[in-house]
Amino acid sequence: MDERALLELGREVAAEQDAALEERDDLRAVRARLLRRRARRWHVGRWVAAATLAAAAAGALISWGTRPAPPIGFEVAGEPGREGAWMAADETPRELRFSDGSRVELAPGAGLRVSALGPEGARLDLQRGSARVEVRHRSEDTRWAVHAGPFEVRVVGTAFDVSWDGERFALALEEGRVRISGPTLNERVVDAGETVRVALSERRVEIVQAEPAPAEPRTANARGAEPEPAPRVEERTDAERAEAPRPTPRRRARIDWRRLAREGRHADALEVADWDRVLATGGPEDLVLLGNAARLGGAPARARAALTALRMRHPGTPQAAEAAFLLGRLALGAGRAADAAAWFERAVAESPDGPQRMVAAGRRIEAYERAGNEIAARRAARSYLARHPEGPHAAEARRLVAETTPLAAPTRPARSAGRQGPERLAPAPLAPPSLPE
Amino acid sequence: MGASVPEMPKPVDDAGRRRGADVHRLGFAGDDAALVAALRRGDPGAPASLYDRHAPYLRRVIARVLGVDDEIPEVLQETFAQALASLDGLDDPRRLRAWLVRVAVFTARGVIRKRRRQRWLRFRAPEQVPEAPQAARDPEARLMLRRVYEVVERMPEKERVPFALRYFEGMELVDVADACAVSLATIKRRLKKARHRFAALAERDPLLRERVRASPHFGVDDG
Repeated sequence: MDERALLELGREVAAEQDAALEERDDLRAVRARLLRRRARRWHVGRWVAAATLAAAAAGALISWGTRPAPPIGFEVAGEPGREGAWMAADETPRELRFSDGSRVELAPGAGLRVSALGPEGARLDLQRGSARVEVRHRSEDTRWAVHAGPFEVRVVGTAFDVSWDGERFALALEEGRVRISGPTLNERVVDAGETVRVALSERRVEIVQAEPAPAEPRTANARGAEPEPAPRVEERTDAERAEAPRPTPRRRARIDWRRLAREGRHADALEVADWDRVLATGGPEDLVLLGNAARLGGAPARARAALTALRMRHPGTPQAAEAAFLLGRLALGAGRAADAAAWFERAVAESPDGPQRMVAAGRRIEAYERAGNEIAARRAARSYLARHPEGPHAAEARRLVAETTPLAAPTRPARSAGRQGPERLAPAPLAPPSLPE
Repeated sequence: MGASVPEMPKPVDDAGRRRGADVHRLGFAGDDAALVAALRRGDPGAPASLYDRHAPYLRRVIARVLGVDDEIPEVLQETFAQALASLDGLDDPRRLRAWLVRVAVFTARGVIRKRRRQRWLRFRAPEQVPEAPQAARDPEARLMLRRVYEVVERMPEKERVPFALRYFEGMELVDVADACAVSLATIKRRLKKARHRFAALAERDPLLRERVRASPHFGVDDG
């Protein structure tokens, strides 16, 4: 991976972190604690006994990790259970009882092990099948986790059914609240009454919110003569959407995101679009529409993803050139002028003669100028004037050219065989800039 | 209020340049060397000044290494506690900041190791799991940040720490080597491995893969 691409990504990471740190008010609290602690230490004379940096830091860190309380235990059918041992329920359910009052019931055919025991909880690995888990919430430190394939359910105090068959994961939460993480889902909190189903091969996530039932919810729904009311279902195939505020299910009805995007309702379009499907199968028109909706809807990362997908999947199309132009605008908007210039170079090289190409050539001048690359900016300006002497950036281009070539500019033949087309100007050569004829 | 505070001399960085942007109005006047001297002779205001002057930067360094994390305040506090307790180990007082960075990195590294040891206990109650900063500017950027750290957390600590310092904090190689207390050659070697590992891991994450490929530098020879 290119060093510059990493530094660019790193700058974004740092900017986001700094914004997050800005919102925290912990500097003052740490200061107060530190100075209080120090005042106490000063009085007992511990200052004099300072150890070396490495030894002290290591010692302190080790001491952080101490955990004196003994781990909980469990038994299976009255026999002490063994940490790490796999167990299976054949034809009848099998129950695990834990010393903290929690219990796990394995459904017939299920396989599970208790892979770790701690003072405040346990970690369970569900190999296959279904299990019912009831975690007793004893204190704020209660810590339980259930692993099922690549999924992890973090629990405090709750009751739920979980299943895993090597491809499909499901969790039905009866009470409490858990946090699940895993592929396709990314990470999300599940509330009581919700059922989450994930089908990995289809990258499909289904979140069913049970309708509140007035009485006997389980039996009435299952056996009643009345047709069961359809559960409210959200389908989310994009991991990012797991983080977004939940739209009401009605909003996710069959609304055409294209229509919303064309009407300028960009955020709504993003909300209802089947993101993964469009990225994987969308044509160039759809991808550029979605990329633009994301760009204008304030989701630059999604915009980049859609536009990049377009360029990878439909190279050589007019929309791919448009995507290069839009990626340039995104980069310029994010303050990455050098990247923007590179994208505008591509847009110019790939666009047929027309307004889009002219605009890209104009923005290229601006990007080079903002990036501080004066030589390339002047070359871009000359190129622009040669092709679009009356274009919207002509005045700016003339100013740039005039700043350096008040008299006759050296006449050299235009570069005719750049790697990405006759108009490729970057990187600027060390030779004096030339005016294309 | 500002008028009542005397203008303090601006602190200088390791290269002797003035760091106007980082200047705080402090209760202690003088550069880092003078501050160290004050700490060593027990000036009562010196620890607070040390903190006020360097805590924001060190918190940032810790955040780069660990991610924006609930343990940052503890690590920051421990960093200063260790620094104050082992100030005698500082040979060149003018290099106070670099030395503090080393302490911070060392402390943060310990947290990474501790987490690895207690891996199964890393999960937290839902209400304790730190949400991504809610008011941060762009939810997409938040998601990206989280994905990046999910990848970084899977890297060996010897690669992860220099990687974060170099690419997230933007440190120069010599400073990264200094912070990690290894030679320049070693840090170059580790960074090379880290780059390859990060690229391979990022390639498995759809969002990161798109993001990395969206860079005009991806697979492009600018030459």
